[in-house]
Amino acid sequence: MNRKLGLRSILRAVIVIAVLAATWLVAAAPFYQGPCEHFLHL
Amino acid sequence: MLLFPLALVLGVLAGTAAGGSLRGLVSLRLRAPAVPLVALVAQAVLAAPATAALPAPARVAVLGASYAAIGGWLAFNLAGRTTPIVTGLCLTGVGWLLNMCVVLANAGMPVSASALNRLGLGTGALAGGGPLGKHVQLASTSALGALGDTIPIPVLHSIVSVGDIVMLAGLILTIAAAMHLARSALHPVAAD
Repeated sequence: MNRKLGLRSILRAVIVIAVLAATWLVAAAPFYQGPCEHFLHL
Repeated sequence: MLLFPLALVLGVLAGTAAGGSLRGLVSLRLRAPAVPLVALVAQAVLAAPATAALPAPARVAVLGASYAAIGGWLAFNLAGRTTPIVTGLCLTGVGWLLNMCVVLANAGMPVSASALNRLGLGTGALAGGGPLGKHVQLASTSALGALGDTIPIPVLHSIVSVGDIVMLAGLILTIAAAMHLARSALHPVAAD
C-alpha cells in the first residue's frame, strides 16, 4: 500500500516538474550553446 | 539549458528554507497538464528539418499558437490557488508576455551579437535558429530589441532576456509556494 502511494507520489512529482519544464521551454527563449545543445536542436 | 533545473533547485531550496516540504509540491494539481506538453511538441516540430521549408507566416502562426496555449494554460490554472502560487504564476505570465511580444514581433527571439561575443561565439551560432529553432539575430531594425536575448551568462553558456529572468523568478516562487500546500488544500477550489 505504502509502496503504491510512494510510486504515485513520484509519478505526480514527475508530472508537475515535466509540465513546468514544458512551460519554460515553450515560453522562455534563452539562447544556449553548450554540451547539451544537440538535444535542443532536435 | 541549465536554467530550468536551476530554478527547480532554487525553488525547492527556498521552499524548504521557508518551512515547506516536497510533499506539498507533489500535491500541486495543475489543470490541463497536457497543454504545455502539446505546445512543446508544436515548437519541436517547427525545429525539425522536415518543416524547414514551411513558409514564414505559417511558422509564426504555430509559434503564436504555442505561446497563446501557454498563456491560456497559466490563466486557467490561477483559480482556487493560494496567493503565493497565484503570484508565482502571474510573474511567470509576465515573463511569458514579454517574451511572446518580442518573439512574435520578430518571428523569433532576437539574440544580441555582442552577447554572443561574450560567450566566444559569432552570429553563425544562430544558423538553424538556435535552441528550438526560434532565435534570430538582433538588428537595429528589430522590434522591441531591449526584450531580446541580450544578457549573457557565460558560466551557463546562455544568453537570456528580461522575460526569461521574470519567468524564472515566477517559477521559483511557484515551486517554493507549492511546497507549502497543506493536506487540506490539496485540491483547487474549482476542481477540473
